[in-house]
Amino acid sequence: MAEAAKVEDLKHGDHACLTFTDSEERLDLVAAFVRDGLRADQRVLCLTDAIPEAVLRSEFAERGLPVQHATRTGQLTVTPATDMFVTDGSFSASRMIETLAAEIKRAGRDGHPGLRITSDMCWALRPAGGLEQLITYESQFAALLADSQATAICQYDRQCFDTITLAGVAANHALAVAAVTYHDDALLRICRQYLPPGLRVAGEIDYRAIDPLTRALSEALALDEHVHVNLAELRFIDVVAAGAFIQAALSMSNEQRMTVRCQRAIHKVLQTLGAGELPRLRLVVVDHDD
Amino acid sequence: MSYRDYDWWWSTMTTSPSPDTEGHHDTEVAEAVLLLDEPFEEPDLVALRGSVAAHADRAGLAPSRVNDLVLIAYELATNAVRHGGGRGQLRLWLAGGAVHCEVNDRGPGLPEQHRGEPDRPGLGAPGGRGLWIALTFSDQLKLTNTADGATVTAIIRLP
Repeated sequence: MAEAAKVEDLKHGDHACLTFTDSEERLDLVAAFVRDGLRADQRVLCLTDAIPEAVLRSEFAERGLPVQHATRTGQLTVTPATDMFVTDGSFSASRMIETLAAEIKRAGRDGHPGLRITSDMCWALRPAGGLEQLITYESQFAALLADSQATAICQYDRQCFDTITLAGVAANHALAVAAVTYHDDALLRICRQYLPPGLRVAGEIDYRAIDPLTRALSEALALDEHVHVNLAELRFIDVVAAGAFIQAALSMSNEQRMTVRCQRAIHKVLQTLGAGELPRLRLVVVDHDD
Repeated sequence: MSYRDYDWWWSTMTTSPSPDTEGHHDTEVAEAVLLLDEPFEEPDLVALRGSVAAHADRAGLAPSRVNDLVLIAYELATNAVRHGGGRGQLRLWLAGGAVHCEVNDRGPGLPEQHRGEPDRPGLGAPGGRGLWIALTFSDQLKLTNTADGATVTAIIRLP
């Protein structure tokens, strides 16, 4: 069974799965994985499926990754997963492993101190021959990575894959990457955001979640000089939770800043409670398009 | 005489109770359309937000005003749960071109400090934000201490 790991702790040889329900959170973790690879001058291979390549590139760029430069130099490749996994309508575990082994060698030959591979595995939900080899592939991939200069994250959308496949997947990854989570239930999720660093609160928050919220805020304040609070998916906030954000911003040191991205209704509550008077707190309204 | 014998108003339209407004209120009640009349305790607070939103939307409030009313109703109900004996009754009605939201509790009554036009709680204040939001987001807010507890009524005009 996969052991929980933080995305920033992944190193050569690691084979991690990322089973997600929230697409925004997946994107955050993948972006952090890509960022760490680019920073370490590793080659980064990003196979995408549900998110079109151009959209993924711009999502990376919005999070501050040097996408254009890294693409031009060949350090970063964003490409459709299907093109690599499926040839002539069928998937072959052994062929894919050969391809990946060649990529690992090529990265070393090109002078990179390693290779990072991440793939959205959604392609396996569409009809193709050889899909029964998916779990075999994952186990062979783990073996390939084991003594290599490469690191991988395989992304599985929990809402699309069946539980048997997901269990097989988890069994064949030593690690499972997830965001550090402070609260998670049907109404509310509070977790760490990696890129830009800070926290993310989605759903509806009120005074009953004040403890996990305060914990998430204090940890972000301890870690980050510029705390990015992502409330884009927050639909409701009560005054106690709003007060916690204001008090956290009030407690920042002179070197710290906080940016809160939120919907108009949340913005109105924070402003009414005086958030506008805090010079190092910036509120940004995001228009909701769901 | 104890302060409990008084009604007092906070309003963005009027700053003190006026007999005219009271009289007008009485005629409104005659033609009022009751939208919601529900008892609540802590576990009901989340569902209450949903019911208030649905009724306010149907009553014709603009989406941003629906959000305002949901927060007002929720904050008043939460005050009742946390400071007003743990439970209360929420009534929502339509009268005189406005949505009225009344929350009753059987608690110790609103503290004397709430009399008069309030200031916004300080940025680091431990509490007091709920009534401030209810006042700021409503067109009129009426606070009453009765023999049994407290009644707060918020009024939001229809566009």
